[in-house]
Amino acid sequence: MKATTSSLSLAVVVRPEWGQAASLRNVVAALVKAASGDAEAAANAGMVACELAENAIKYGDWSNGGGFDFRLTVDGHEASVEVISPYDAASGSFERLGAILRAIEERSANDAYLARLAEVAEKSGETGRLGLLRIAHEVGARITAEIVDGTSCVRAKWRSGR
Amino acid sequence: MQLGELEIETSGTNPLRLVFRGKSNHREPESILRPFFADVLPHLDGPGAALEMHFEDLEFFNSSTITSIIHFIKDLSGRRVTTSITYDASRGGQKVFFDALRMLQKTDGLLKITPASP
Repeated sequence: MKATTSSLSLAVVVRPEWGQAASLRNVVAALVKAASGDAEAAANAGMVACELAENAIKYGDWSNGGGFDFRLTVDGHEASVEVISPYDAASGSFERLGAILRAIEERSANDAYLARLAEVAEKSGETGRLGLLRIAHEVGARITAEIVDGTSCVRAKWRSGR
Repeated sequence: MQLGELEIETSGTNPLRLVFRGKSNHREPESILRPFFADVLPHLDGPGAALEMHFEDLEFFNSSTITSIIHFIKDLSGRRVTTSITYDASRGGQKVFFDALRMLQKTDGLLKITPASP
Protein backbone atom coordinates (compact mmCIF):
# COMPACT_ATOMS: atom_id res chain seq x y z
CA MET A 1 0.00 0.00 0.00
CA LYS A 2 1.24 3.47 -0.88
CA ALA A 3 -0.37 6.74 0.03
CA THR A 4 0.60 10.38 -0.38
CA THR A 5 -1.47 13.53 -0.22
CA SER A 6 -2.21 13.30 -3.98
CA SER A 7 -2.28 9.60 -4.73
CA LEU A 8 -3.30 6.37 -3.14
CA SER A 9 -3.16 2.75 -4.14
CA LEU A 10 -4.28 -0.41 -2.45
CA ALA A 11 -4.08 -3.98 -3.68
CA VAL A 12 -5.35 -6.83 -1.58
CA VAL A 13 -6.68 -10.36 -1.96
CA VAL A 14 -10.03 -10.56 -0.19
CA ARG A 15 -11.73 -13.63 1.19
CA PRO A 16 -15.14 -14.14 -0.42
CA GLU A 17 -17.12 -13.80 2.78
CA TRP A 18 -20.05 -11.40 2.88
CA GLY A 19 -18.77 -9.38 5.83
CA GLN A 20 -15.58 -8.56 3.94
CA ALA A 21 -17.48 -6.27 1.57
CA ALA A 22 -18.39 -4.00 4.48
CA SER A 23 -14.84 -4.23 5.80
CA LEU A 24 -13.51 -3.13 2.42
CA ARG A 25 -15.96 -0.25 2.31
CA ASN A 26 -14.78 0.95 5.71
CA VAL A 27 -11.09 0.64 4.80
CA VAL A 28 -11.45 2.30 1.41
CA ALA A 29 -13.53 5.16 2.78
CA ALA A 30 -11.07 5.72 5.60
CA LEU A 31 -8.08 5.72 3.24
CA VAL A 32 -9.67 8.14 0.79
CA LYS A 33 -10.77 10.39 3.64
CA ALA A 34 -7.27 10.34 5.10
CA ALA A 35 -5.65 11.08 1.75
CA SER A 36 -8.08 13.69 0.46
CA GLY A 37 -9.96 15.02 3.45
CA ASP A 38 -13.08 14.83 1.31
CA ALA A 39 -15.92 12.99 3.09
CA GLU A 40 -18.10 12.67 0.00
CA ALA A 41 -15.24 11.29 -2.09
CA ALA A 42 -14.58 8.82 0.70
CA ALA A 43 -18.22 7.71 0.87
CA ASN A 44 -18.37 7.32 -2.90
CA ALA A 45 -15.21 5.22 -3.05
CA GLY A 46 -16.48 3.09 -0.18
CA MET A 47 -19.79 2.53 -1.93
CA VAL A 48 -18.10 1.50 -5.20
CA ALA A 49 -15.77 -0.86 -3.33
CA CYS A 50 -18.67 -2.42 -1.45
CA GLU A 51 -20.92 -2.94 -4.47
CA LEU A 52 -18.17 -4.49 -6.61
CA ALA A 53 -17.00 -6.67 -3.74
CA GLU A 54 -20.55 -7.87 -3.08
CA ASN A 55 -20.90 -8.79 -6.74
CA ALA A 56 -17.62 -10.72 -6.67
CA ILE A 57 -18.71 -12.61 -3.57
CA LYS A 58 -22.17 -13.34 -5.00
CA TYR A 59 -21.20 -14.33 -8.51
CA GLY A 60 -17.59 -15.56 -8.32
CA ASP A 61 -16.79 -19.24 -8.66
CA TRP A 62 -15.55 -20.16 -5.19
CA SER A 63 -15.67 -23.92 -5.68
CA ASN A 64 -11.87 -24.05 -5.41
CA GLY A 65 -11.61 -21.60 -2.53
CA GLY A 66 -9.30 -18.62 -2.85
CA GLY A 67 -10.21 -14.97 -2.91
CA PHE A 68 -10.68 -12.03 -5.25
CA ASP A 69 -8.17 -9.37 -6.18
CA PHE A 70 -9.22 -5.89 -5.14
CA ARG A 71 -7.37 -2.81 -6.36
CA LEU A 72 -8.07 0.80 -5.51
CA THR A 73 -6.24 3.65 -7.19
CA VAL A 74 -6.72 7.35 -6.61
CA ASP A 75 -4.49 9.70 -8.56
CA GLY A 76 -5.51 13.29 -8.10
CA HIS A 77 -9.17 13.37 -9.06
CA GLU A 78 -9.07 10.09 -10.99
CA ALA A 79 -10.28 7.10 -8.98
CA SER A 80 -10.69 3.48 -9.94
CA VAL A 81 -11.63 0.18 -8.36
CA GLU A 82 -10.85 -3.12 -10.04
CA VAL A 83 -12.13 -6.50 -8.87
CA ILE A 84 -10.88 -9.75 -10.36
CA SER A 85 -12.58 -13.00 -9.41
CA PRO A 86 -12.76 -16.57 -10.72
CA TYR A 87 -15.56 -17.00 -13.18
CA ASP A 88 -17.88 -19.92 -13.93
CA ALA A 89 -18.98 -19.64 -17.55
CA ALA A 90 -22.02 -21.82 -16.85
CA SER A 91 -23.43 -19.34 -14.33
CA GLY A 92 -24.42 -16.79 -16.95
CA SER A 93 -23.43 -14.00 -14.58
CA PHE A 94 -21.08 -12.33 -17.05
CA GLU A 95 -23.83 -12.20 -19.67
CA ARG A 96 -26.12 -10.49 -17.16
CA LEU A 97 -23.34 -8.07 -16.32
CA GLY A 98 -22.84 -7.34 -20.02
CA ALA A 99 -26.54 -6.62 -20.45
CA ILE A 100 -26.42 -4.07 -17.63
CA LEU A 101 -23.41 -2.33 -19.15
CA ARG A 102 -25.11 -2.24 -22.56
CA ALA A 103 -28.18 -0.66 -20.97
CA ILE A 104 -25.97 2.08 -19.54
CA GLU A 105 -24.33 2.69 -22.92
CA GLU A 106 -27.55 2.62 -24.92
CA ARG A 107 -29.47 4.96 -22.61
CA SER A 108 -27.49 6.76 -19.94
CA ALA A 109 -26.55 5.78 -16.42
CA ASN A 110 -29.39 7.95 -15.12
CA ASP A 111 -32.02 6.53 -17.47
CA ALA A 112 -30.87 2.93 -16.99
CA TYR A 113 -30.95 3.34 -13.20
CA LEU A 114 -34.42 4.90 -13.21
CA ALA A 115 -35.67 2.21 -15.57
CA ARG A 116 -34.41 -0.48 -13.24
CA LEU A 117 -36.00 1.19 -10.22
CA ALA A 118 -39.28 1.26 -12.15
CA GLU A 119 -38.95 -2.46 -12.92
CA VAL A 120 -38.33 -3.23 -9.26
CA ALA A 121 -41.37 -1.16 -8.30
CA GLU A 122 -43.62 -2.88 -10.82
CA LYS A 123 -42.73 -6.47 -9.96
CA SER A 124 -42.86 -7.52 -6.32
CA GLY A 125 -40.47 -10.44 -6.81
CA GLU A 126 -37.92 -8.36 -8.70
CA THR A 127 -34.57 -8.10 -6.96
CA GLY A 128 -30.94 -7.36 -7.72
CA ARG A 129 -29.13 -5.94 -10.75
CA LEU A 130 -28.92 -2.50 -9.18
CA GLY A 131 -25.33 -2.36 -7.92
CA LEU A 132 -23.56 -1.48 -11.17
CA LEU A 133 -26.31 0.91 -12.19
CA ARG A 134 -26.03 2.60 -8.83
CA ILE A 135 -22.28 3.01 -9.23
CA ALA A 136 -22.66 4.47 -12.71
CA HIS A 137 -25.50 6.75 -11.63
CA GLU A 138 -24.31 7.95 -8.22
CA VAL A 139 -20.65 8.62 -8.93
CA GLY A 140 -20.71 8.84 -12.72
CA ALA A 141 -18.38 5.88 -13.04
CA ARG A 142 -17.49 4.32 -16.33
CA ILE A 143 -17.67 0.56 -15.84
CA THR A 144 -15.96 -2.01 -18.02
CA ALA A 145 -15.72 -5.77 -17.73
CA GLU A 146 -13.83 -8.54 -19.43
CA ILE A 147 -13.05 -12.22 -19.08
CA VAL A 148 -9.35 -13.05 -18.95
CA ASP A 149 -8.05 -16.58 -18.38
CA GLY A 150 -11.13 -17.76 -16.55
CA THR A 151 -11.40 -14.68 -14.39
CA SER A 152 -13.88 -11.85 -14.49
CA CYS A 153 -12.34 -8.40 -14.26
CA VAL A 154 -14.68 -5.50 -13.50
CA ARG A 155 -13.39 -1.93 -13.35
CA ALA A 156 -15.07 1.29 -12.33
CA LYS A 157 -13.37 4.60 -13.03
CA TRP A 158 -14.73 7.95 -11.94
CA ARG A 159 -13.79 11.50 -11.13
CA SER A 160 -13.32 11.76 -7.41
CA GLY A 161 -13.65 14.71 -5.13
CA ARG A 162 -14.12 18.40 -5.47
CA MET B 1 -35.41 -3.59 16.20
CA GLN B 2 -31.80 -4.48 15.50
CA LEU B 3 -31.13 -6.17 12.15
CA GLY B 4 -27.37 -6.71 11.99
CA GLU B 5 -25.78 -3.26 11.80
CA LEU B 6 -29.15 -1.74 10.96
CA GLU B 7 -31.38 -0.38 13.69
CA ILE B 8 -34.99 0.59 13.09
CA GLU B 9 -36.73 2.47 15.87
CA THR B 10 -40.51 2.38 15.85
CA SER B 11 -42.62 4.92 17.70
CA GLY B 12 -45.97 6.67 17.58
CA THR B 13 -49.26 5.50 16.11
CA ASN B 14 -50.59 7.95 13.56
CA PRO B 15 -48.25 8.85 12.16
CA LEU B 16 -46.29 5.73 12.87
CA ARG B 17 -42.63 6.68 12.84
CA LEU B 18 -39.74 4.50 11.64
CA VAL B 19 -36.21 5.80 12.17
CA PHE B 20 -33.44 3.97 10.32
CA ARG B 21 -29.94 4.11 11.80
CA GLY B 22 -26.58 2.48 11.12
CA LYS B 23 -25.74 0.42 8.07
CA SER B 24 -27.81 -1.87 5.92
CA ASN B 25 -25.36 -4.26 4.33
CA HIS B 26 -27.06 -7.63 4.73
CA ARG B 27 -26.61 -10.06 1.83
CA GLU B 28 -30.36 -10.48 1.46
CA PRO B 29 -31.97 -7.53 3.22
CA GLU B 30 -35.33 -8.57 1.78
CA SER B 31 -35.22 -11.65 4.02
CA ILE B 32 -35.09 -9.53 7.17
CA LEU B 33 -36.80 -6.31 6.08
CA ARG B 34 -39.82 -7.92 4.44
CA PRO B 35 -40.94 -9.65 7.68
CA PHE B 36 -40.34 -6.44 9.59
CA PHE B 37 -42.37 -4.38 7.12
CA ALA B 38 -45.06 -7.09 7.10
CA ASP B 39 -45.39 -6.61 10.86
CA VAL B 40 -45.67 -2.86 10.39
CA LEU B 41 -48.37 -2.89 7.72
CA PRO B 42 -51.29 -4.05 9.94
CA HIS B 43 -50.75 -0.92 12.04
CA LEU B 44 -51.40 1.18 8.94
CA ASP B 45 -54.72 -0.30 7.92
CA GLY B 46 -57.28 2.35 8.76
CA PRO B 47 -58.39 5.36 6.73
CA GLY B 48 -56.03 8.28 7.18
CA ALA B 49 -53.17 6.05 8.25
CA ALA B 50 -49.85 7.85 8.08
CA LEU B 51 -46.24 6.78 8.23
CA GLU B 52 -43.02 8.73 8.62
CA MET B 53 -39.76 7.12 7.57
CA HIS B 54 -36.54 8.83 8.60
CA PHE B 55 -33.31 7.91 6.87
CA GLU B 56 -31.15 10.82 8.04
CA ASP B 57 -29.10 8.62 10.35
CA LEU B 58 -28.71 5.74 7.93
CA GLU B 59 -24.98 5.77 7.23
CA PHE B 60 -24.94 3.27 4.39
CA PHE B 61 -27.28 0.98 2.49
CA ASN B 62 -26.28 -1.46 -0.20
CA SER B 63 -28.13 -1.75 -3.49
CA SER B 64 -30.04 -4.81 -2.29
CA THR B 65 -31.63 -2.65 0.40
CA ILE B 66 -33.01 -0.35 -2.28
CA THR B 67 -35.22 -3.16 -3.57
CA SER B 68 -36.75 -3.75 -0.13
CA ILE B 69 -37.48 -0.07 0.40
CA ILE B 70 -39.16 0.25 -3.00
CA HIS B 71 -41.33 -2.81 -2.43
CA PHE B 72 -42.44 -1.44 0.94
CA ILE B 73 -43.31 1.93 -0.57
CA LYS B 74 -45.39 0.16 -3.20
CA ASP B 75 -47.22 -1.77 -0.47
CA LEU B 76 -47.92 1.49 1.34
CA SER B 77 -49.20 3.07 -1.84
CA GLY B 78 -51.53 0.11 -2.41
CA ARG B 79 -53.00 0.66 1.07
CA ARG B 80 -53.27 4.42 0.50
CA VAL B 81 -51.04 5.18 3.47
CA THR B 82 -49.85 8.78 3.62
CA THR B 83 -46.09 8.34 3.67
CA SER B 84 -43.46 10.91 4.46
CA ILE B 85 -39.81 10.11 3.79
CA THR B 86 -37.06 12.32 5.16
CA TYR B 87 -33.40 11.99 4.22
CA ASP B 88 -30.09 13.78 4.70
CA ALA B 89 -29.26 15.66 1.51
CA SER B 90 -25.74 16.33 2.77
CA ARG B 91 -25.02 12.62 2.32
CA GLY B 92 -24.36 12.39 -1.39
CA GLY B 93 -25.61 8.82 -1.73
CA GLN B 94 -28.87 9.60 0.04
CA LYS B 95 -29.54 12.67 -2.07
CA VAL B 96 -29.01 10.82 -5.35
CA PHE B 97 -31.12 7.85 -4.30
CA PHE B 98 -34.05 9.74 -2.83
CA ASP B 99 -34.09 12.15 -5.75
CA ALA B 100 -34.48 9.11 -8.00
CA LEU B 101 -37.14 7.65 -5.72
CA ARG B 102 -39.38 10.62 -6.45
CA MET B 103 -40.35 8.70 -9.57
CA LEU B 104 -42.72 6.76 -7.29
CA GLN B 105 -44.61 9.89 -6.31
CA LYS B 106 -48.07 10.13 -7.84
CA THR B 107 -50.55 12.93 -8.24
CA ASP B 108 -52.49 11.59 -5.22
CA GLY B 109 -49.87 13.25 -3.01
CA LEU B 110 -49.69 10.27 -0.65
CA LEU B 111 -45.91 9.97 -0.89
CA LYS B 112 -43.72 12.89 0.09
CA ILE B 113 -39.94 12.74 -0.08
CA THR B 114 -38.14 15.68 1.45
CA PRO B 115 -34.66 16.49 2.70
CA ALA B 116 -34.30 17.12 6.41
CA SER B 117 -33.94 20.71 7.47
CA PRO B 118 -30.29 21.61 7.99
